[in-house]
Amino acid sequence: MTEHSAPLVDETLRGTLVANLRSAGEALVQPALTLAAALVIGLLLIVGIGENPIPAYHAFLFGSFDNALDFGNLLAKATPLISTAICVMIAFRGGAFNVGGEGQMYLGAFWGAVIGFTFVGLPGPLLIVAIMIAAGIAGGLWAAIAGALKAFWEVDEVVSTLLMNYIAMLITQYFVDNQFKDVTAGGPMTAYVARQAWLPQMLPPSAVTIGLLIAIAIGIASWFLMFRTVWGANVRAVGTNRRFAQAMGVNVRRTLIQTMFISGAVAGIGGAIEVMGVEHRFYQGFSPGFGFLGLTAALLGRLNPWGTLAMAFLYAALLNGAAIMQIQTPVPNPLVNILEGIIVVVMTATARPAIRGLLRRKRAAA
Amino acid sequence: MTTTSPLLELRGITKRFGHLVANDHVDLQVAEGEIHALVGENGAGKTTLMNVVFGLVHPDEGDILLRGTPVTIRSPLAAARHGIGMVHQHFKLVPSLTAAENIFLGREPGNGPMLDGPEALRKAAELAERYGLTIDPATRVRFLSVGQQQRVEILKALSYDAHLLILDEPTAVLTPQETEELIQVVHELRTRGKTVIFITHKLNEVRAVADRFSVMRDGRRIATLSTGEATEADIARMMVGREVLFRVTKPDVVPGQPVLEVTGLNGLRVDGTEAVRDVSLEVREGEIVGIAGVEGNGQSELAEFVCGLRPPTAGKVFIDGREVTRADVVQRRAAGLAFVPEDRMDRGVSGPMSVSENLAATHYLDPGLSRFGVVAPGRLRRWTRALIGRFDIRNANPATPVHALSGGNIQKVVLARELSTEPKVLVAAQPSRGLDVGATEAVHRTLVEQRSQGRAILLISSELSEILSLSDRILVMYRGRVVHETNARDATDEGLGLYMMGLKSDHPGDVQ
Repeated sequence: MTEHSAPLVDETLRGTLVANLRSAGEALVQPALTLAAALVIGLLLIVGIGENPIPAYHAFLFGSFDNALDFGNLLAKATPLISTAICVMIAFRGGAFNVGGEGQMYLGAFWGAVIGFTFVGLPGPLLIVAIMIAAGIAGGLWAAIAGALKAFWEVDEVVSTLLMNYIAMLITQYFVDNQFKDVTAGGPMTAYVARQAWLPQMLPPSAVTIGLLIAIAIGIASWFLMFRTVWGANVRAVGTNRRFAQAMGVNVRRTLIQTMFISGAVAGIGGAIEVMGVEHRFYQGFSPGFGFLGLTAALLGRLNPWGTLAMAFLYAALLNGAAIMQIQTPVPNPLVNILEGIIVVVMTATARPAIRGLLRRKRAAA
Repeated sequence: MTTTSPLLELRGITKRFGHLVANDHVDLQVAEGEIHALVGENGAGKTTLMNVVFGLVHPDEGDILLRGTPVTIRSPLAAARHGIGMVHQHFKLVPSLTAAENIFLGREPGNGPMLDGPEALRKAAELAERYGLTIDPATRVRFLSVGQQQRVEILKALSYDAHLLILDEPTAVLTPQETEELIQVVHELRTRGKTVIFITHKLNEVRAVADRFSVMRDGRRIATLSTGEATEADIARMMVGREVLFRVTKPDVVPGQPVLEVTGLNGLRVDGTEAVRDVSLEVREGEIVGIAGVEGNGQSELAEFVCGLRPPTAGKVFIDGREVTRADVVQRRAAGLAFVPEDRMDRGVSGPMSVSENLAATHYLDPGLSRFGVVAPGRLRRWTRALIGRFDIRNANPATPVHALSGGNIQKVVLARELSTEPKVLVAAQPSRGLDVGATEAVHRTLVEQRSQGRAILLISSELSEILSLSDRILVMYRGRVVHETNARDATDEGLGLYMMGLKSDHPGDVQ
């Protein structure tokens, strides 16, 4: 063994900041390469269908930044993605793969809307908080069911959360078709939430609201929760080595269920923000798959809170860019779905070690 | 030494991994037909050097000569063609296949796509007989003991007609009996004209097995000597670079009150079979009680029952006079229990988490480290740094992930966490497993210091020498029962060995 010890890291706040930024920077290299590879393949596809890739990619990549409206729409798309991506990140840190963000978001949006059109007498801020709490509980409990199944009966949470998406969506479908249907509206949707709970717009006429700030705050809070609290340290101990956590006195089952609750609550609150910010009511089909898009964003962000936040924005830029590209050029919108698929495929090549590690721990714990 | 070219000669082998120099201009000569031990502490560069010879690692500089001819070895397959075989520390066998199928994996005898099973069995049996390595070639590897699996690995290497066999820390996973048998096998191989390089950091093995040995330290070869020319103390000094104390000097301590009591404990393994039957013991303040036994005789489960990681089926556990049989881990720790688990990577640490987080795992609620559940990062760092200094954890920052440390330093992280609670009772399971001489010495010194400070220590170890040198009283476990209890002063290797193997018992009628 060598006698020397490694130089100690700079202790100052600046030192830790630099270290944090560096690790965030490192977390971004891989996704950048992944996206670059996907874009090159997409370029070939555009050429392949006989279109000029230059205006298409110009619209795709830069269209979101041309004017305030398009930029605002980008931010509006980022808002729910942040929630669902952070939802995945939290569960993953605790050793669970929550792919049920979509269903948890649906239930959160629905019950948030119910509170919003029921307690119309409450003042705005109070009603907004009440809606978010109800949404968090709804999404959290839904995810906690999968957590409990895993904790007590070793039910694989990937399967349970995935399948519970459909149950959740069918539950809300049932309600908006029956008891909670707004008969004056033309489709499966609830009544409007009280006007005072509508989130103020930030860049009118774009769709972005102060919900974006709430989502970012939740992202920052999730970092704080996971990396600055005792509870978060215990969650990460369970997530990285369950048998170690148990020997340290962590109640593994309880922690797992709590982690899933928090994870689902974040997705649920994301749904409520959509309700309060965009449609102002719950309608079946409000999400074009935010739960799954968030999953991709979280994996692209390497399940690091900052990387996950950054990737939610980047992913929103892709979605928004695709919409603009479709309007401005003859390239069809489905191209972005193809790009998304390619990104996922390229990304799994690098994310696999992390997932494999998770599976190995799971087996070791069994 | 012969005057002809040695079988294997390394000249100036250098291998760097980033800024780390694993091998620094290493010269080595291994003569035909000798058993050459390669010794050194963990991280001294032994395994890297042998991986160079086996084609797994490509050197940055230097030459490899076989019988005087320079060769380039690009892959293990090339090494096999040159007659070099290697048995790694972690076996590379398929558990669901038979011994014979494993030996001939990828080269199965047969006709086109059709396998010839009987032929494989016959060839494996023939091979086993030729080298005096008794195995049943038809048994699936998963049913073989670790020692038998190792024989399969050796036979696999020999089946490529290897004449130079490299064994990487082959005894690390073996019981003392299996080690004895392995040493005989190695001697047998020598009489059949094979040359063996035997990597180890256990001193007694060097003298028991080898003709000559080379010592490595910090990536360099320090010396090559005949085993007759050096004592164990000499070898240790060369490995560590300073004097090493072997027999830990234990001051006289008058034991105090019993603080760990176990009465009539019974319990099951994970698979539902009986692990522990009717075990009673007590450990007093200032006393080390050693549990000896061949691994798998219930010691691991005993530790888990005492530490609250598994519920026993019957019996009671008391810590400092309080019954904790049904208490959870937190309550037991609060009562004064600390635990050094037998596999540090399994229960001792979380590898991806930082040194700081691993140390703090049982300390977050200590005053100052957190407030209202929020960690105080500055204080945590200072606290960590103090422990790193006090327990001499090398190459560690508070933010270093634990799996980046060496085994000895990881064990120091575990000890630092467990001992900084000022426990009354310490359960230490295999505390020096896989550690080199220097790190083992540090762990033993720590345990003896703790004893002097009045801790009660339950030491579980399958290393008899560790039990004998540290314990005040010794219990032997065999098939889940305590079959013998003795004062450490009256105990000998051979005497305890008979109880460990079930040939003797204090319970009349136990011995078949």
